[in-house]
Amino acid sequence: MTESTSRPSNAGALERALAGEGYLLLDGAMGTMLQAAGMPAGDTPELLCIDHPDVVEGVHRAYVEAGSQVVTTNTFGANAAKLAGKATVPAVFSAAAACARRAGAEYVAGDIGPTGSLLKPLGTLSFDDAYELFAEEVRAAAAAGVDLILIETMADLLECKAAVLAARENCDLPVLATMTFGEDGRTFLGTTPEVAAITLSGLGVDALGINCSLGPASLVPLVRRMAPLSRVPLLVQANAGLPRVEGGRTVYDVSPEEYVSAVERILDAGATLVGGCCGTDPDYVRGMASLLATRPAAAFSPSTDFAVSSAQRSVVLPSDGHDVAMIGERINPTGKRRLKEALRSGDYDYVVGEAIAQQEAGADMLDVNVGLPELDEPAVLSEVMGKVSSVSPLPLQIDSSDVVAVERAARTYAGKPLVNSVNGKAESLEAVLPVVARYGCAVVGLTLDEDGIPATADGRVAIARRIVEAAGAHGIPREDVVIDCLAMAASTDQTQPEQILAAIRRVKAELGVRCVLGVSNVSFGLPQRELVNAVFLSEAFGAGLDLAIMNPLSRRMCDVVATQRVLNGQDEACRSFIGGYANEPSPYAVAAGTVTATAGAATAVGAGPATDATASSGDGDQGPEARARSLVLQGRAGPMADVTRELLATHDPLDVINGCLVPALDEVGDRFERGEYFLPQLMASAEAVKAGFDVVRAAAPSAAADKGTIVLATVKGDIHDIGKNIVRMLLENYGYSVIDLGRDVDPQVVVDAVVDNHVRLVGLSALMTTTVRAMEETIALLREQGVDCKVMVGGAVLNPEYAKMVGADYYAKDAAESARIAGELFGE
Amino acid sequence: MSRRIRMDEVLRYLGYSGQEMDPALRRRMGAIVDSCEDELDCHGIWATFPVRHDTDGLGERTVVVEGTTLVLTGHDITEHLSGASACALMVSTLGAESARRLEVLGATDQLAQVVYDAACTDLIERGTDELEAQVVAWAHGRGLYTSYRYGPGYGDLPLSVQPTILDVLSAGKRLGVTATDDCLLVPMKSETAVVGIYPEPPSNGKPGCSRCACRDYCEIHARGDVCYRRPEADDREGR
Repeated sequence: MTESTSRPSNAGALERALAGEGYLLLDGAMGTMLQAAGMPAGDTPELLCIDHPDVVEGVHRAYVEAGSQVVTTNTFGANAAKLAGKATVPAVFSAAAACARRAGAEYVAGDIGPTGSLLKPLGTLSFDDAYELFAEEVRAAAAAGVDLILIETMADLLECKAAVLAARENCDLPVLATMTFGEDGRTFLGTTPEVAAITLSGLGVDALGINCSLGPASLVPLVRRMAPLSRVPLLVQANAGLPRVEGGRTVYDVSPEEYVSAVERILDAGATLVGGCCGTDPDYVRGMASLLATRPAAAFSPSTDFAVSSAQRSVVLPSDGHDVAMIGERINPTGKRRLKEALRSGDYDYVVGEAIAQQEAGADMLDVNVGLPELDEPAVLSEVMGKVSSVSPLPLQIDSSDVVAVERAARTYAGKPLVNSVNGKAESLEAVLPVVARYGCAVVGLTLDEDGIPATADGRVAIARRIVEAAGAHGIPREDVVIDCLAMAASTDQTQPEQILAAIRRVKAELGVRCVLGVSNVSFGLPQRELVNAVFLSEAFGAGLDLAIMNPLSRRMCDVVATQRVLNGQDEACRSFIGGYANEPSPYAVAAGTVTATAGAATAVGAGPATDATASSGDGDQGPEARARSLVLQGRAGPMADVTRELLATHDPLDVINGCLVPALDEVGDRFERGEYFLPQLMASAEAVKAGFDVVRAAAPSAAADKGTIVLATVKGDIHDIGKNIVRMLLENYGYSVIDLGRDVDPQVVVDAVVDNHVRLVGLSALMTTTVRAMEETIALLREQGVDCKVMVGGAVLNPEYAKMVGADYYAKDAAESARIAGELFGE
Repeated sequence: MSRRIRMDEVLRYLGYSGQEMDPALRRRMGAIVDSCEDELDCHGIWATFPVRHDTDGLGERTVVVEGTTLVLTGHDITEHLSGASACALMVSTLGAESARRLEVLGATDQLAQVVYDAACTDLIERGTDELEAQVVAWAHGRGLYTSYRYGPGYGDLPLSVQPTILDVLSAGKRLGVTATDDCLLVPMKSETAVVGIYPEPPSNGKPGCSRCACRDYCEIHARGDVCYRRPEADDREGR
């Protein structure tokens, strides 16, 4: 075999392309070529690098001869998990790179595909484990002497982020990353081209783009969406059309000629690095080579928009516009008793509820602050951000003064977050900016320093300037810096509002960065705070404010934002405003007593129990005891609050619980047991009891003190947790305090929770035969570590005998049974 | 388009057996099922492969799926595929959005989560029925016959074949469906299945259209034809 290492004609082609100054031609499909050569479907193609290097080299050589400047190693699935011990990762990369080199490749790209497992929370793979799989591949690729790393066919933005960080932190090679999109213009996990461009640009890849997905023509609009938001050149490697099964074989319909003609439009849309994916072969590459030879030189201009994103949605403030965005401030325990309690007890459903409420009220982003002195902030902040991200598509603002917490949250956040905040103190700049730069975040800079908050606009602008310059020195571009000029109370210093507004105007004009402001401080100490806040917010918008940190549940504040978007043209053709306000009564009519606010009927899914607040006719002549019982039996939560208040007027709170609510729920359980009720009826009744409980708890917290604490978990490896959720709901409504550890829970985590909280009853669920094993291991670990607690188990594949076999004390065939077991154990 | 999710099936999954229920609860469940129908769709892929009947080292029957690394073992599936000349492998999924919706409801409204979950279960069945109807039509067009789809986890066909079925169809790349170390599919609302394809009508084939899961999606049925008997037998009956 001949070694071909001469590359004079193309010297620096990679560097030029990554600088946005030239085109670069990659190769086409490997798998398609190998299957055409007889490799069976479902095989591990990476092993061919070792077992049949001649075949792999032959594919590479065909691409080199067709004009590929970069060939990609046959290592798509060469991670330790997928290789499953059949070969080591270094061995595969070493053999694969040698195949590519021997084929005479100009540049060899070390190929890294997805791990093949889905990350938490959808799957069971942790971010750190994914990172380790990728890091091993990156080190192996670098040791094998590749020229660049190509991360491709990613559908999960967080997995892609793990791969990019692994590449950036384990080698010095250029890193290219592409994701795969479906016909709906999103990846399987919902990432849009805009989000991919924003997040991957932030993470500092050298080129980003799209591969696999669809045929090249279908990718043109996606490239157009990506281009304006990318800060690096775009790479596109399309399939030769959508795969189609014909006569049992997968075929692709787009011919090389059609492909090349679509690639021309992809180049017009802004891509400068191109190649092929599934279904393409050297003929496609030859066609692209001729096309590139005749094109005028590429030109690339990086985006200067402000942009942040979650894994599914982005917030973009174009550099040439005046758009504004709303950051919801409610996930912040300061002054919020219920949220403090929720964070302390790990009741993240409450936090998630706050997120959803703000999202529905129109927030564009959510601030997440969990700063309570008694909490392990780094752990809790990451966990809460993960929970919020799993239910809300809004981009998040990491709000913490603990740099360790910020770093951990930024590293594992699926998207590009806004970090709140850095300030002008040298110590803060040195600690926070490197984290912001490393994880490609945007950052809020507070205009305060060692001397406090300056009273004047001059002082604030000077600090802002220092922050912007320090950020630049860390490689953070201006568009990623947002200055907060810090609102102060007008009631204590009436010169402040004007100074703040002046500072906003000057920061924008002199420093060319965007501004954010938490406006509500301005009204501190005044009556009618919302009125003051709303007027100040509109003044701040007038001064150029871009991002408002505010309470989206404040109608008045939202009115200002909605109106501003009409006035600045952001609300195109005033469509949202007209849609939202055309049939609304004037808010001032309410004050005049002519209109009463009406609560919307709760028909939307997730809106919770029906909220009709009247007990059904015919109940009226009954006493509150009978009505409460009847409402529970009917599963009607709406009128329960009123009836419970009536009960409290004549009964001891404890008596309301043990004499009314619990017996009614017991009766529901019995009916369920006899088959007279089915599951949704049981749950609707539990909702009704909860509505009653909430009233009792508010009136007499001590009476509603919990009857015992129970730990619930869906065992390690199992992600089917709906049965466990039903059990939790019922147990909580019986007055037990439930520590819900979630799903896919490590046995040691269960043991720790039981020990730490002195828990006497544990409920474990497993749905599949394959995961009952983990149930047995969890129980064994509890026994082994001498934990004194009873264990009840449930799940579709279990029965009393099986439960005994895995070492459980009780078998709960359904949620009602689990409540009976708890009742027995806690001695009712 | 008519609703795909069948309310009676959803109720059956939830344990309904004619209990008297509050009309408000019925309406609430109806709205949840409607939202599932609106928010989710079932996507699937399938491909056919010749099969070879073989025995393993212990003398147990196996079915080798040719051109792939998949070998099906166990009494039930080898029996099911007895006489088959080929099989179709299928993967279907409601996608990551189904998991996301269930997650949101789990945090905000557990009753809705339970109903939505049951609606998902029926939606994926219906989507897979539609996919199976494509396989049936493909086979029918070639003068071949099919049996009911058979899923890992039924009988003694282990869940452990799921990762290989996914790999053979590149389901990770094409549908975003992956398997965990314990061979559970992710997203959870996903399904894999095997459909036998036979040169002669199999004994475990479809007895008629009235109870066939594919009926609503069957192009053969739509044009008044049937898939489960030989055309000449049909002619004889006609005479």
